[in-house]
Amino acid sequence: MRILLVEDDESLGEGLRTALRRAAYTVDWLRDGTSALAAIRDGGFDLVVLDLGLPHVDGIEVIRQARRAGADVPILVLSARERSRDRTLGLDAGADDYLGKPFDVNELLARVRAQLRRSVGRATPLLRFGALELDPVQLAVTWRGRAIDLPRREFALLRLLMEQRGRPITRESAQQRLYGWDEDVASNALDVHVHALRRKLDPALIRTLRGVGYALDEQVAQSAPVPSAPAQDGGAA
Amino acid sequence: MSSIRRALLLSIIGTTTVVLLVAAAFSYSSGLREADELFDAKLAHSSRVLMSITDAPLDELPPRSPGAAPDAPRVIRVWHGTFDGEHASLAQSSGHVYETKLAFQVRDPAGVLLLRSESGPALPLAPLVPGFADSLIDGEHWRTFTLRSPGGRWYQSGELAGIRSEIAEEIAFGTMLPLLVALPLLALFVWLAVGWACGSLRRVSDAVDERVPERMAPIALVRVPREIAAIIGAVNGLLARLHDALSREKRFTADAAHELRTPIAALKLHAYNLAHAEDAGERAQSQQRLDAGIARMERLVAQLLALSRIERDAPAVAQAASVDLAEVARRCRDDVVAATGIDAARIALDLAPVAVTGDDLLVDAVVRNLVDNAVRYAARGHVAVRTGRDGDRAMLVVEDAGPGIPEDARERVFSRFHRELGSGVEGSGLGLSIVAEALQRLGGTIALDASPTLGGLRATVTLPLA
Repeated sequence: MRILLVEDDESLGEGLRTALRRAAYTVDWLRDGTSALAAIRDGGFDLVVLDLGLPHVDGIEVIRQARRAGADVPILVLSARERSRDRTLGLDAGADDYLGKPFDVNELLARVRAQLRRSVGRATPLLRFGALELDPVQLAVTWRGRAIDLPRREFALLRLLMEQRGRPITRESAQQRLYGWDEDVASNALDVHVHALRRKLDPALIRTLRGVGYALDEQVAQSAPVPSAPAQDGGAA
Repeated sequence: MSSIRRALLLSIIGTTTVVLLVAAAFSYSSGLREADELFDAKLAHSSRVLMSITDAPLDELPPRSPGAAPDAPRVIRVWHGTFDGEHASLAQSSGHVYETKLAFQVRDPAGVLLLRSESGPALPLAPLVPGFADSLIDGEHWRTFTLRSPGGRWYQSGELAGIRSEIAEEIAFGTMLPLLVALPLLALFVWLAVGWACGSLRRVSDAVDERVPERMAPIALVRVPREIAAIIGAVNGLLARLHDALSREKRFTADAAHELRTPIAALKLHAYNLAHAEDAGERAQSQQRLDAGIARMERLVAQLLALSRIERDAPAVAQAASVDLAEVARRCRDDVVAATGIDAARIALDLAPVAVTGDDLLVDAVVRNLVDNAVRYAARGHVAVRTGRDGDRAMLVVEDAGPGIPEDARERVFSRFHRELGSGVEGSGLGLSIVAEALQRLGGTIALDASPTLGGLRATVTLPLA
C-alpha cells in the first residue's frame, strides 16, 4: 500500500512519514501543490494524505484538478482549517475524508485504514483468505491458527496479495506499492520478500505466474497443514 | 448634574422675560407721556378755536347794563363723545372714544364770566394766568388751559383729569400689549427649539449606547444640528478605529490559533512515534524530533507574546531611555549563539557604540529577530552585524549569506505569519512583523536589499539618536 503524503511543514511531515511507515505503508512525501498534482495524475498511489495550506497550488485546488483529470485515488485531507465550512468545501471539492489539525494519531491511522478498505470494496477490518488472517490494526498475521511474526515489508507484501483475493498482482505494481521513490531497491528485492513469506507460511501459498506476477493460491490457503507438520492435527480438503 | 436643556431654558426665557417686561414698562410710561402731551395740545387747540370763533361775536354783544346781575352768563351746549343720557346716540355716532368732556369759560378782562359751557362748573376753572394748570373743583381734578385774547378777554378750557388719564392708560396699554402677548409665544418657541436640540443629543447618546464590540456600525447622521454632527463624526471616527483594532485582534487570534495547529499536530505525532518506537534508533530519532518540535513551539509562543506585548504595552513603555545599540547587538549575538549552538565566529561583529532613544525591550526585539533570522537563513554561511552612526541617525546593519529575499517579496515579508516559500527554514513567520512593529514604535526605519559582501539579505535599520 503506497501513500502519497503532501505536507509542507518539515516537522509534521517527518512525524507523519514515520507513523505511516510503522503501519507498514510505503510513503512518498511531497512538499508543494504542483508536484503533488503531477504525482496524483501519474497514479500508483492507494491513498493521498493532503495538507491544504500548500505552497504554489492550494490543497483544495489540487483536489479539484486531480478529480477533473479523472484521478479516483482516495484523498484524506489534513488541515488547520477545521471549521465546518472548510470541511464542507474540502469534501465537496472531492476529498474522501477530512481531519482537522491537531489530530489524534490513532484516529488518523484508523481513517487511513478505512479509506484503503473502502477503495478495494471491503467492509470488514480483518483480511481473511482461507486459513490466512491479517489484522491491519495490530499488524498481526495468523496462519492456520498460528501467529506469524513478519517484518514490515513482508507484512506489506502479504497485505497487498491478500487484498487481491487470489487475483494476480504484477511485479511492477507490487514493486511500486512496496518501495517509495527515495528508496534504493535491489532488482531482486521483491523475490527476496516472496521467498521469505513462502518459507514462513507455505511454499505453495504464493504462486509465481510467469510473465504476469504473483498470486495467492486459494486451494493451499484453505487446505490443512502439509504433511511436513505432523504435530498438527489435520485432514484433506 | 447640570442640564443643558434646563440651563438654556432658564437663561433664554428668563432673560427674554426681563427684557420684555422692561421694554413693556418703558413703552407704557412713554405711551402715557405722549398721550398726555397730545391731550394738552388738543386742550390748547380747543381754547384757540373757541377764542377765534367767539371773540368777534362777543365784541358785538351789547354792553352789559351796569345793574344787571353778574351771574347771568350765557351758556352754550357742547356735544361730547362720552355723553350720557338723551344725546348719547348722537355722540357715539359721530364722536370718538378718545374724546374727553370739555368745559369752557370766557371772562371779560375784569374776570366777569361772559360765557360758559353747560358741562363745566360755574366756578372759575383756574386762576386767570395764561398756560396750563391743574385744579381741584368740587373734589374733581381738572386740567386747564388759559388764553388771553388781544382784547383782554380770558378764554379757559378744561377737561376732567380722571377721564384723561383713563384714556391715556388705555393708549399706553395698547402699545404694551404686543410685547406681553409675544412673551409666552417666545417662551413656547424657545422651549420647543431647545427640546429639539436636546432631543437630537439624546438620540445620539442612545445610538452610542447601542454600540457593542460586535456591532460598531457608524451612527447615521439624520437631521441633527451641525454641532452634534461634529460630535457624531468624532464618535464615528472612534468607532471606526475601535472596529479596526478589534478586527486586527480577532484576525491575530485566529491566525495564531491556525499557526499553532500544525506544530501541535507535529508534537502529537512525535510523541506517538516515540511511544511506539520499535528500536533504540527510532526512539532516539523521535525523541530528537519531539525536542525540536517543543523548541519550535516555545519560540513561536515567545514570539506571539512578544508581538502582542509590543502592540499592547507600547504607549506605557514610551519613556525614552538611552540604549547602546552596540551593547544590545552583542547581547543578542551571545544569546543566539547559546540558543542555536552555532560557532560564534560565524557572526562577525563590527560594533561602534551608538546611543539610541527608546525602550530597551523594543530595541532588543528589533536586533534579536534580525540576528536570529540571519543565522537561520544563512544555514552554514556567515552573518555580519554592524552598528554605527549615519548622519543624525543611529544605524544597524545585519547581513547574511542566506538565499536572500526576491525584490518583489520584500514588502510582504513583514506581514504576520508570512513565510517565504522554499526557504526550507522552519520559522514562525513572525520575526519581521515584530521588527516592523517595534520599529514603528521606536520611530525607526528598515530597508531590505541584497548583501553585496555576503550575497544574502541585508537589513538596514535606522533609529533616532539619543
